[in-house]
Amino acid sequence: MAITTATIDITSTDLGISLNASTNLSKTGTSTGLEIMDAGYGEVTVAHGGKALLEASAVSGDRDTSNYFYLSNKATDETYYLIVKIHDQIVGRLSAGDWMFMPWSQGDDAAEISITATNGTCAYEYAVFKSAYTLVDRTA
Amino acid sequence: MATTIAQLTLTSTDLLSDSLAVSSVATLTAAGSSTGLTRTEGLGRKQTANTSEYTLFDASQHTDDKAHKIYLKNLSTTAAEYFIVEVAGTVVGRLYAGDWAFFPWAADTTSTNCDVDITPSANDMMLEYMLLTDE
Repeated sequence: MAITTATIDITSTDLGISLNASTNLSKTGTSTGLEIMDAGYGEVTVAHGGKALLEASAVSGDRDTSNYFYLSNKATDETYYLIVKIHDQIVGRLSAGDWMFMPWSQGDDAAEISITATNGTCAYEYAVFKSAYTLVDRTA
Repeated sequence: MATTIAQLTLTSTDLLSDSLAVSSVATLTAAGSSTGLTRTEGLGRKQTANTSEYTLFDASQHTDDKAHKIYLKNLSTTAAEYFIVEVAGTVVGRLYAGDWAFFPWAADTTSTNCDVDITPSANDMMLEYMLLTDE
């Protein structure tokens, strides 16, 4: 059993915030640690349009289980956003330099996570942590 | 101008053959600018009475496409208890006991009603929340 810890710190002396939260990423409904991870780095441009970052799987055993994903917009120009969608629904706009971390339920085949750059080229970094994953059959 | 820093740290010594140590630091700014965020709702806690769906953030009460950021934490200590988190009626994930999330929010009311809703899996669960915004 692997122990993977996700910690967030939000601090602002101006707004009076000093928040810390930490969790060990666990398999669905248990305290057993997740053991599957995928990560990567890439670039997406305006010309690309919407791109699937993480596809939901119809055949793996990870539907409705504990999956978490991390995404960071590595652009430095403050007008370069990544529009983040889940199941083709806009969740939010990830500003340059910002990151997000949230659970992801692959409730059905269409629950993919997609990103769209609004300006220029946005480099991105991502990671996904899964409760379970079964490789799909090869294409003959 | 307020300076608000959000830092993520992902660590594991045994998930992979090499240690995992990811750190990402963001200085939260207003949409399309380098001006810091100016307002928060919360930090607060809400208790749910039953397994009905609750609206946590009403998009109609906020401005579209600002630099809204949402923090959520499930304060349950029972591993099997979770909140279903929905944005605009779409399930994005299940937040299990002790887990937290931090994500941008469009608060769109033009093309869809982008409310953030939560549905607890059990009675009497507690959620911690905060909205950081530039509106």
